[in-house]
Amino acid sequence: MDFHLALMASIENILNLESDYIQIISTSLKVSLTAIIISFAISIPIASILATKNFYGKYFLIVLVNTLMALPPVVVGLLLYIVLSNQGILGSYDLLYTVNAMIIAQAILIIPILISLSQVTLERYYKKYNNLLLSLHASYVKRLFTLVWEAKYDLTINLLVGFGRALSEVGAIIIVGGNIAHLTRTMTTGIVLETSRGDLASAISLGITLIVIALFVNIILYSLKAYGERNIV
Amino acid sequence: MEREILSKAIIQLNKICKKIADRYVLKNINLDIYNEDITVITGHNGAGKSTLLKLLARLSRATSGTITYQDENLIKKSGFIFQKPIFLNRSVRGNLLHALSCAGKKHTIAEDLITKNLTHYNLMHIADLSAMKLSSGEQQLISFIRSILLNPKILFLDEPTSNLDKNYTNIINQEILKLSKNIKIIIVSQSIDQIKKFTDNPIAMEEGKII
Repeated sequence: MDFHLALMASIENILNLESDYIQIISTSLKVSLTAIIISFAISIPIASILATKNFYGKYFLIVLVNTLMALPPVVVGLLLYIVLSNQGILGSYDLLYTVNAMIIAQAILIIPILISLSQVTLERYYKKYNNLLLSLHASYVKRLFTLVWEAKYDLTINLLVGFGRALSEVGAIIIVGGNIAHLTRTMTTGIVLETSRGDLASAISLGITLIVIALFVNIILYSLKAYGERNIV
Repeated sequence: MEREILSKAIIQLNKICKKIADRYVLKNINLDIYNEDITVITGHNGAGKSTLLKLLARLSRATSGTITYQDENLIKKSGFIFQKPIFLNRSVRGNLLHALSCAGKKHTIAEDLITKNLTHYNLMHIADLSAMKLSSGEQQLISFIRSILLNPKILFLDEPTSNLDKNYTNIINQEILKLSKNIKIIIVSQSIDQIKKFTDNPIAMEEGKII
């Protein structure tokens, strides 16, 4: 198909807001947003402790987290597939080929990234504020909450990086999700399918949507950061 | 309130050493600090004054040796004023509220305390400004207020007037003298005027040792 014609057809697809197209976007956002929220909730406490405490095995843990960051998504997908399949240890939960499996896969991929980025961010704030917080006799928990609050805008930027990673994920989620129409098909897995079918128009419409959503999220988050820096609490 | 004069030292340092990056910045410090008078620690740059002060305030730990406090509550109710004030990225009010929340004060009580103190020092007009954007004099004064809001029994000050003009220096010095009637003050200073104002017997340091 001629690229120019495909592009025109893709724009028409977007403007017509077909139900299949809306369903795919909705599934993508649901999976990625849920994965990022879960990942953030797990990553921040771990990153906070790594940034503020010395303990036996700390550096091994940091090396492990950094190694997990480089884990190939398809390997994560494969391992999760084995665990979630009927013979797997979590087979009885019937999670395979569901959005929940996709959320788990994305979370596994994003958590090491968020831990690593957040640890570096929080270490910077720890060096800046720890003496002050000690002088105020803040409890350890209070110190952590203070550091996380002070670092909120930088941590939000890290969240953005994680969200972008989640939204663009395809390898792991196509294995555990199955790319099933009206159920587990996302923008990225949809692009893979439509491109392999030769339906460039559908693939391009999903691609454009993906870029626009990523741009929109970036604009909101950077605006929040700028607003926060102008308006002091 | 009359400060109780004690025959025993309130803080005792015994063979204190502190190593930072393969260099001993404090070498075998033995020191008794008593409750009476303002304790002034002086010396040239790099003598180890600030390091010693931070050890006394338990902001850092000694590499070896012991520091004994006559009363643990003394150090738990201490305040510290840094040479360069450190503020959270919040308003003056926000910073003071945070300090009081660290001490477990309820919000309404904290607000009242803050209003009372800022009014006393004619600083209400800057209450809602960013603490990080104040002048150095205003910052140090707010830093001072933050410490005294917590009702400390002992106050550590690390060259609190080194970056200030004469006007703010005088204000801070007056406040230190007023406070010293009720609480123990330990101050690091390189200013001859300040040393003379506060004590006849400063503790002089050189190259990590008391001379």
